[in-house]
Amino acid sequence: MHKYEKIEKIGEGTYGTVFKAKNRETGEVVALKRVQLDDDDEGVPSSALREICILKELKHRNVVRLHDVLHSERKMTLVFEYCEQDLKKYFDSCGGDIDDATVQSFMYQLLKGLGFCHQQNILHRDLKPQNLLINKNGELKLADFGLARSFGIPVRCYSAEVVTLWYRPPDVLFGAKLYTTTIDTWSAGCIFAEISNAGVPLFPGNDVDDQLKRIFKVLGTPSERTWPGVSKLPDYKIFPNYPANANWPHIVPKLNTSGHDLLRCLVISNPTERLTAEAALQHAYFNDLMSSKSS
Amino acid sequence: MDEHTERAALFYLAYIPLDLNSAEELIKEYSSDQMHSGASGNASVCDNKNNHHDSEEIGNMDPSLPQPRVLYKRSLSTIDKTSENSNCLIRRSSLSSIAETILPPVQALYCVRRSQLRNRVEKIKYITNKSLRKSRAFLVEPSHHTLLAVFSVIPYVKDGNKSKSQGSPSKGPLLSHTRLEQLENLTLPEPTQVVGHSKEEVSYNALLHPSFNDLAPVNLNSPQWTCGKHRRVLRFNSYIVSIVDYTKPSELKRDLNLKFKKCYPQVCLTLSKLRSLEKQMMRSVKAFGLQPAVLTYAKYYFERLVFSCAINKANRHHLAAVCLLLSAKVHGDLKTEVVPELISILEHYFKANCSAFLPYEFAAFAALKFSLIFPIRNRHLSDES
Repeated sequence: MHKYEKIEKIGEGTYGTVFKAKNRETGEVVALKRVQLDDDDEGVPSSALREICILKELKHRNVVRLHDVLHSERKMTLVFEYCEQDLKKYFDSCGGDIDDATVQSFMYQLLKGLGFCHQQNILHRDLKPQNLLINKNGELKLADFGLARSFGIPVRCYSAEVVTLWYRPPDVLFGAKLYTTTIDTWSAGCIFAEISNAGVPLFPGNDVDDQLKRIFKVLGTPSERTWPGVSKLPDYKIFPNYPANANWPHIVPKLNTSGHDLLRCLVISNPTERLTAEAALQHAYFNDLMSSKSS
Repeated sequence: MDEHTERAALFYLAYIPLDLNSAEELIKEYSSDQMHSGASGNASVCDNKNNHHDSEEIGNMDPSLPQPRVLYKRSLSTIDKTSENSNCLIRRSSLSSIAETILPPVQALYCVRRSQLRNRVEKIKYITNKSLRKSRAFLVEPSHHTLLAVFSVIPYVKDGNKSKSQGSPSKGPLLSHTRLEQLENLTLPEPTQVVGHSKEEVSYNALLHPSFNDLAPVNLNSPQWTCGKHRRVLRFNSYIVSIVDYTKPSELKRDLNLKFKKCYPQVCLTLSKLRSLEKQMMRSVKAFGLQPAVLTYAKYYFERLVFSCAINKANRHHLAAVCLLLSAKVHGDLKTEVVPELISILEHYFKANCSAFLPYEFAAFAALKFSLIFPIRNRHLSDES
């Protein structure tokens, strides 16, 4: 560790310790993710491999930048751009209130970054506030691509064990193994509501059943009519028939009407009807943002 | 493929002596090769007494022309027998009889699926586009049981470059300059350097540039690497015929290895070794129940390493195992707890201890420039899907 001087430990990532550090030559502050390699019966952890080969291809202002990979006999260090905090910590520090403009800006950047990933044929598969980094300029960046994968090649199935429970869409909760980009837009929708409510999660389930129950109580229990093929999913279970009576103004009181509509389009049980990131960016909710940007 | 083109091609193929000169030349070659190798046996390949079938499809195209007939044989157990027979038949034939037999419509057709070449002759009742596609057919003249010609039906490829590369295997350089440069740029850091004694950290910053659309792999499935020189290509306006002589597998292997060595002198592996390692990869993929896409990527990584000269005789097993491991980790959606299981399967199939090949993992990853996820665009995938 000659090039970088460690400043402090930030936390434990999925597969290693994360440090804040400074480049001795340039003074640039970076985040170091340290992966121990001496556990020699598995080789390099797959999440580290995925993160490197995927982030290598994703250069975007709303995706965390991988600056360097350092490798030595016993350890591997990934050098990332440094962001002051993640969205989770941001919630804790904001004191229960996030103003409308910030909500809109975060959501816009989240969808921008996501749209870019999808355009590059990458699914993130683990979107949650802890994995969204925010730097001091208020820029939001997608991070932790350890579960991400490329899509678009013919595969029989993907793993259904993806995405942290609270942000997992109903199709994946039912064990769907062929999902697409809308797996991420569901999570984005959940995060949208969470940002608007300054950190109160939309569907904080305790287990898969509870998670689905919470979702269906808001969106209504899906049927073959509203979601053709749902009963064929591997882990499909019959739930009480909740009516669809989402009272969005009550669930996300601070959002305006077009915000309610965007949220409604993002959290739709049937994955084929769910909005894509690209389409969500065109939503009326972002209209004033677009006009203020172009003017 | 355009169905009409295929039909038309098929139709003309049935009348193969369209170009008399080339057909004669071909047969001359056959005869001179085989005539003096001693004649024996009168085994007849076709059984034209009870198995005639008029091909409706072809007949419908132009009723004024005589209809070619399809014969199929019920008890033809192995292709070895066929090839033996066809040799015999050729021996029986003389040039003059061939000249006679060329003129009447070809009446018998045998179809052999390429993939099953060694195992059996497929019986066909009717000529359909489907039954002939990617097949090899033997045209047999019924009255003398003489093998007239062997042809393959390959899908029409619109891309001019592709058909060119298929059509003239021996002409022109096989590698463009840009390709060579691409390959040369890809270098493997010595695994020993990476993992051996150095305690120093090595920075791989230079590899972190987006590489989508960077590399196009060499397509080893192309006919030029499966048929060798024992192939003659006749190109006409509406179709391409390639005529493949019978060759001993060992001879073919030697020829292909030689040609491969000539084209890629920098590669330290013979083509047959490369293929056998890929077969080994396939076995381990099957044993572990991984998805085909994992194999495709693994083979692709391995070939990239092979063509970048990163692989030699000593490390070939290790790197093949590691390529599969990388591919499974990135594309296989494996649970972490099954990775050791996969590694033990690799140990078994590549006859190496994991402590021998795991150190190559990062080295191979770096030699692939960390590019493990770009879409594969050549035929590797379409072949398997």
